[in-house]
Amino acid sequence: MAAGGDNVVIKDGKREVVMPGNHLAALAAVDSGCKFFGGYPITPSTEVMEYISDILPEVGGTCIQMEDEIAGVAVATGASMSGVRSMTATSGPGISLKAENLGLAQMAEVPLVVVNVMRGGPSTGLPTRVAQGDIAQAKNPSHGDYKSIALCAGTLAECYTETVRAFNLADRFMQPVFVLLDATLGLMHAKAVLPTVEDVQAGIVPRKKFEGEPENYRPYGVEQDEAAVLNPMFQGYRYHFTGLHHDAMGFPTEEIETCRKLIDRLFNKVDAHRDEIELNEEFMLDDADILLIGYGSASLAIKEAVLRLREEGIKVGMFRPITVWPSPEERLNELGKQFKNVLSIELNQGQYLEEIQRCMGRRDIEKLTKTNGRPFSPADISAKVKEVF
Amino acid sequence: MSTRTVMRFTGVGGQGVLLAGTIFASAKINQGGFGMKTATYTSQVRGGATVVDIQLDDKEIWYPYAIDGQIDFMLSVADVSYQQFKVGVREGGTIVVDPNLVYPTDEDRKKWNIVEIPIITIAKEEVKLVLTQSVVALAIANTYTHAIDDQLLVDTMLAAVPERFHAPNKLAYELGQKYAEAAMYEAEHA
Amino acid sequence: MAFNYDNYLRMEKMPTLWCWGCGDGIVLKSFVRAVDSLGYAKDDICVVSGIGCSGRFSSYVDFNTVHTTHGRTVAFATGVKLANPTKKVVIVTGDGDAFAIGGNHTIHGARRNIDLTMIVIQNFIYGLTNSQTSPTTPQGMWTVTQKIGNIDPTFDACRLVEASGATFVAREAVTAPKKLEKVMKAALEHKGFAYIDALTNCHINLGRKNKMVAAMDTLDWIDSITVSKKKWDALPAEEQKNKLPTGILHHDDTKREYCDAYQMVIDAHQGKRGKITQDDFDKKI
Repeated sequence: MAAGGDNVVIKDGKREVVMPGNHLAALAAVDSGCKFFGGYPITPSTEVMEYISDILPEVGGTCIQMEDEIAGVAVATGASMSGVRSMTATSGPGISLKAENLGLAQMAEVPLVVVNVMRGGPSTGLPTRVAQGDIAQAKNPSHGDYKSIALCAGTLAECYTETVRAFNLADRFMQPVFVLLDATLGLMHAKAVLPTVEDVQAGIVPRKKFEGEPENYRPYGVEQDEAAVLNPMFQGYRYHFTGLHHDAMGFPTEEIETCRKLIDRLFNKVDAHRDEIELNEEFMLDDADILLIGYGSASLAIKEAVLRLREEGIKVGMFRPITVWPSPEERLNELGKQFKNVLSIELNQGQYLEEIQRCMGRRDIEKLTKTNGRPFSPADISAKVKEVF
Repeated sequence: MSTRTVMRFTGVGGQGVLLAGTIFASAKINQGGFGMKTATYTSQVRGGATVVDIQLDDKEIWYPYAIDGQIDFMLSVADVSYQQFKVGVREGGTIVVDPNLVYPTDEDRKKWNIVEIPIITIAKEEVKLVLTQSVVALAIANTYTHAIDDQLLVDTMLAAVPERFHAPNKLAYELGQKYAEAAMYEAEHA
Repeated sequence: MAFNYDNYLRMEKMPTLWCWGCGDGIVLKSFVRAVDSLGYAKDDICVVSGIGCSGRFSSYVDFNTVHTTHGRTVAFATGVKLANPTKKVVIVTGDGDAFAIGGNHTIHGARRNIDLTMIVIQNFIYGLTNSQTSPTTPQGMWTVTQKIGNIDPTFDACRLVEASGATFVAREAVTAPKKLEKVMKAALEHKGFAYIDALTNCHINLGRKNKMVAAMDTLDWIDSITVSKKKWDALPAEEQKNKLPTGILHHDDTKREYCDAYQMVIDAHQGKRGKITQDDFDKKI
């Protein structure tokens, strides 16, 4: 089978495919030049590994099922350290197990795409059912201070395009980037319109590489708002990776200024370039009186609800962050001033609501939450809008 | 919403009947429309109740789940999932059940058009290939809903099946069609 | 002429953080000499270490070096190796890394028979963090977490990895640096999972409270518990259990290495060969 599956039609320079979100994430990885996948089976993300185990070796890449979740992220990080684009995929319990090594990747500035197909939690939770309970976890999966980047797909096509974007952001900012899917998106099967492979390849932003003399190379000796420049292994630039605080060559140090500057830089490199990372969707907002905020698969029900409420003459619109971390602070702040009536909708107890409140500087935001493993229906949302506004 | 067909297939995990959903969605897309298949597994994937919702429309479909009360057609081959998911079918809608495996109540028969076709037995004894149950189900569903042109559906189905299984799968489709037409005829002339 | 280690060491990192009299330096020197004798280019080697005194090893050698989290060396090294099958990837780790927190990865690395050289600097204790019990601390010895005497049984690391599938297994002690160098050389040349148990002294955090306060005392103890495989084989079972055999304990060149096995997967997916079946393997179950 060719990469792309059986149902690929090229129309107007785009590809139409029929596959579930989990397969789309795998396909996006291969199209983005990913050459390594390491993982461990876990519902509802396993189809990512099942599919990539077929399509990665076709292009000479490697997919390995490891002995546990920890090894899954470690093996992928090891491959990435050596210089190849690399991915792992899991669900919430897997992220909990991978957390320490994700911290190493943050600290040592190793790019990695981490797909989390969210299911009900905490603990084993509701393995086969949908939730958006890992939003807070995506911000701080590991101990310590660092700045996460997390992208949250809201449509089947975005399972593909956000994975592509994650690879480019990971290499640009030299850190792990989360792609958040959920049980609904991961398993739903429908048409997705994708860019062509050529377009994806043309958009690849490879890792920066130092080309000068090895003795002048300082992998971590970069400007305070820039990411480390880590050359591939085995090419004459020998340096050191470590999870310890480290100097410009990567060697452990406890020197006060070096330690301060390192962690400052891990924040600055993201904060100073938020415009390159932020991505939102605004749906029927222009003339709206009521603002609904939601993300991921919940936005599918929100869109249907918006259409139905408008048929009844209730002017609602939706704001959807696609990059959930770092959050769209400025835009949320503006919207908070523009709309009196705001309803936050998420499949958790209000994890992102806290961020919305912070960005808007207000606490009078209505919320609709659900944590029983069932998706929102459009009727749930319409009813809530009519109830509170 | 008027152009939308909403179907539900239910069984227990591991039963091939659920594959019919994928074929429907693909065929609708091949036809140029929008098809959506969304499966929900309960915690016991093997042997647990499983449901697949199919929505077919000429317009884009956002919300991936069938909305309870709007399902036109359901097909069920396991009582546990029949009982759990029948509520989604609109009043007067059709529910095809395998009478050896599903036991509708008298009340159910008043509320819905319950049709009994021994889907698994047909696959097992007439096609002699139990795996073809999904194709028998596919044919029955399409005969009732007229959702997709039969030839297009068969072509889509065959494209997903290895060449050596084309003959039994074609037979399964024909048998499904025949049984469904017979049941419809019987209902009209009862 | 005396051997020049400087070319392989990051001299600006010297002296090491290891205690005076620590055997880790002997392991380091034996390794450097083994690499030198094989003529490997420094660029073609990656050294992966974990947490503990052995974790610092990677920062002292002038190769491509990775200092990972506690216990995960084998998994990281597997990633480096699979992405670069023609390069030499070496793990230098400790008994806590390899057999406590990371035991699972050691077992599975050995099971895959992936071409990694795994050197465990085995000092019978958690040294860096001051004397907590390791899976290799002998029963009855004092540790800071079992001050009344350790009750936890040890396991034999060499037998564990051999049973798991490692195709080269050796043990030597820092009391015999030339032998250590020799088995390292053989391990590096072996294609497959090569394991070396490198016994060393931690007189500071094992010896001090166990009546082996000087480095030499702990080294003498190591001498007293080791015996060459040939002699060990001739010992009665009752005596075998209190001695560790040294030398090459297991060497099998007939098993398929994992990167080669994965190449079969690539070839099959690219249509260069048929599907992989049981006929491709000697061992059927």
